[in-house]
Amino acid sequence: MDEFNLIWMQGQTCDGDSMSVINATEPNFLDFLKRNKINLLYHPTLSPIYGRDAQKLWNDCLKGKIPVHIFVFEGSVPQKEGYGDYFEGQDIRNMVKNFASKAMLTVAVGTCAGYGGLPAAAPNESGSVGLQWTKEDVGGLLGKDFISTLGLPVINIPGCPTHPDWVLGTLQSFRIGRAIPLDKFNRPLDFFSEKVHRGCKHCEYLENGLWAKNYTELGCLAASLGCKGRTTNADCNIRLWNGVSTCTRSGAPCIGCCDPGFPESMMPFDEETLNLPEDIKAEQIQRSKVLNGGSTK
Amino acid sequence: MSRKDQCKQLMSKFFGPSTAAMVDKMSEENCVSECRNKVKSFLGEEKAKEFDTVT
Amino acid sequence: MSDYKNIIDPLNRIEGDLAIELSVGADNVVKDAKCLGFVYRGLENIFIGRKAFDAMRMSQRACGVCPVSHGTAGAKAIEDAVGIKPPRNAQLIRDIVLGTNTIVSHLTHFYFMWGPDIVDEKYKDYKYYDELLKRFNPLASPHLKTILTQGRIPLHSIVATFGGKFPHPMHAVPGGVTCLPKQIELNKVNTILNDVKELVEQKILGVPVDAALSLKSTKDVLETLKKNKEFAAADLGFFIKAALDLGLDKLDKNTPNNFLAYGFGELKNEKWLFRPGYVEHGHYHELDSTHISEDTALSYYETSDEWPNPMNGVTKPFPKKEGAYSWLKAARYFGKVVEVGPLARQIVNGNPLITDLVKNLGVNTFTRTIARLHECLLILPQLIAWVDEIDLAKPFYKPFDEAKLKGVKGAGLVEAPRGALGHWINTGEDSLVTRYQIITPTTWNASPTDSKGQKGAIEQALIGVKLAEKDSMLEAGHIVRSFDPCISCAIHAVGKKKKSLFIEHSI
Repeated sequence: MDEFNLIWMQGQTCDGDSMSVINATEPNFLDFLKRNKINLLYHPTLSPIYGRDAQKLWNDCLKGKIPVHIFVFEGSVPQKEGYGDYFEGQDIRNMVKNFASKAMLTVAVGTCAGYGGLPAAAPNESGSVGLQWTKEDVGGLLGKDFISTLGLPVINIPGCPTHPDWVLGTLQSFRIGRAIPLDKFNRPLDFFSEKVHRGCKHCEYLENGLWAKNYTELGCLAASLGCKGRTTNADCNIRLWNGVSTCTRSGAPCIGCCDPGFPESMMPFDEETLNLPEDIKAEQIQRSKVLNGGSTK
Repeated sequence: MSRKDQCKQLMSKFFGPSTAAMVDKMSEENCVSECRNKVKSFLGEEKAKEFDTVT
Repeated sequence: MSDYKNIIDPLNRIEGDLAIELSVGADNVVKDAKCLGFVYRGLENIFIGRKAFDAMRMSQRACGVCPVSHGTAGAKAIEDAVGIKPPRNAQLIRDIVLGTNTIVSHLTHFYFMWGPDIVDEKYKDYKYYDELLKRFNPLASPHLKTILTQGRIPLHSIVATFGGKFPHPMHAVPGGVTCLPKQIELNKVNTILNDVKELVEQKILGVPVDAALSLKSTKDVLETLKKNKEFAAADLGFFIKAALDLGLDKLDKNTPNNFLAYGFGELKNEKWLFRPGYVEHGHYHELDSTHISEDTALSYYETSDEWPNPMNGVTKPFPKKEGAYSWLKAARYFGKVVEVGPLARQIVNGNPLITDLVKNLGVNTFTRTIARLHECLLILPQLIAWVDEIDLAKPFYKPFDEAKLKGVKGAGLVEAPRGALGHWINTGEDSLVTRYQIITPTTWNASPTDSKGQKGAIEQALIGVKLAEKDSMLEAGHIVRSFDPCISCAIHAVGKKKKSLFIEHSI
């Protein structure tokens, strides 16, 4: 395989997506780069180079001296004047636009980069947006018509944080040239077609309408504790986190962190706020029939 | 099948429908070399060779 | 001749990026330093008008590196406001998760963020440079992979066992924790901790943890380094030798010499694993959080005449403010600049080895780094003991009356990996948040100058440092990273007259 360069930059971020991605297993992050022959040109937390050396590298990328195959961005982008002066007084909006126009593919990692996330919640003093979306609306910083030189829109891999498999799995699919389908929010369907509640250990309680009234009680975490697992798209409970658990598995209600509207559309986190879609209701009845030998409670 | 359609098929396989749609804007004459170049620079020569079978 | 401006932007490999502006005199000595940082996300103001619980869940998202401490501080702030204490089991789980996160954070910092500086090309003439490369070559050293796959990843599975996932684990809620572990989970956690202890003994120490903990003075350490081949050959011993050879203990000398810690690990007997307190020039005082205040004279916020305590603090951004240079507020204790972090924690706790190291070598890049690694050894055995103390027959959560949340104030103080972290919450009569203030460890360490002209701890450490060249970056890299700052946001502006790297671009 030929030279393949990936550059990772950050905006308004907690660094959590980077911290999550380096927890990858099979392969671990270092082996992932090595085996896929990916040259990590720059990463804010991991790169040896910094200061003027980093600026020179970015400059070389933008001038086309170094090809950028994938531009990964983490964090939201402040649009309001005065809130986005990074890199020796320069505007982060230009930084993102410059790299997105040069790179063959742009990937937004985490809910903030994809959809604005936490900084974009009201009152949104810094005017934060995602790369190509702001909450459920297409647009964002780059605009709805943006496509990279490879003809692709920004690939969104949300989550607060995102899961290492979602990121490395997506990058690897592109690396080997096996297209993966996207959903209407440009999330890879491989990871975001399931609802969080699928595979949840509390499913059976849900079927039978047994609700936990408080933490650590047995029962489904929806209703009294406000779990958003039935409407949030992510395969957490099938994939598991850190190899062992998930929010709902550890007794914590899902707060819908992969949803484009997160966090605002999901609050209050601890109250039932959902209008359950019809297809989920129908599915629940069907599953309940199977579980209970025909009776629907 | 036209050269453009063959290119679309390959681009769709490698990167999906959005990339395949780019071929619409290319000419029947240049589409193979344009697509080949894109694939070569992203996926490498091995994958780009698949365009050699476009007739 | 005016001083040379050495601007290091981005100063990365910290959590987020920071910019440093050094004024360098003709003798290459730093005469002044400015620490510019923190991109404003407006979190505190986003929480206003929300439910306290929502604010807590969101406040954890302040940091993806130490989300455990933010989550815990948020839950404790609400508990303080309504006057409840979680059950002992919940306390234990929170401390196990926090302690685990602290160890991971310290190891990741040493190997992935601090380490690469010591293999800088400037050291290539050092006789053991090849050996340094073998251990610290970024993204290439086999040691890094071992620390990642046998240290960081299994330890984070402990966090996930109790909290569902890392980053942003979900276990801490006001009143306790959400998880209900079974014995098998505790057995696995115990196994992982013992495995990591072995890893630390084999790779980092070369001797058993107990043996390393028996070293109580600088003399003990240096003698063991000479006598014990295993200790000298492992990463820590080798690092000590190399760091002293390369003069890292003499790199920076200035320190506020005041240290603050909020306390970590409440033990059964109402004692602490690391006690809270304030040490000013060697004298210990009990912690009183009412002495904490924040100034915004040179920060991008509207300025008030008083330095408010965070319980009454406000966050009013003012991005065009004349003369301001940082998005960090200047946190002060008793109106004084303090340093926080593992070194501060152990000075406050009176740890004999660290106290002696500081007495002999001072407060500097070297001692800060050693204190960080040493703390892993102090925490690890305690975590194993805490896992054993969990009583599965007793509750992990105690419900409380949410009506109590009306018109109350509370503070949640914890020791994050990087030092003292506080969340302060006020609620109104409708139980919704009226005020939320967060002071992170880095707000203490990387704070800008205040209205009395007192410079922040990192700024002070940089002043007086002799650079190899007027534009060299390595010295500041060592020093700033030794504080393990957690800007957790990207780089910030310094000069606006520079030639633009990123051109205006329309897509």
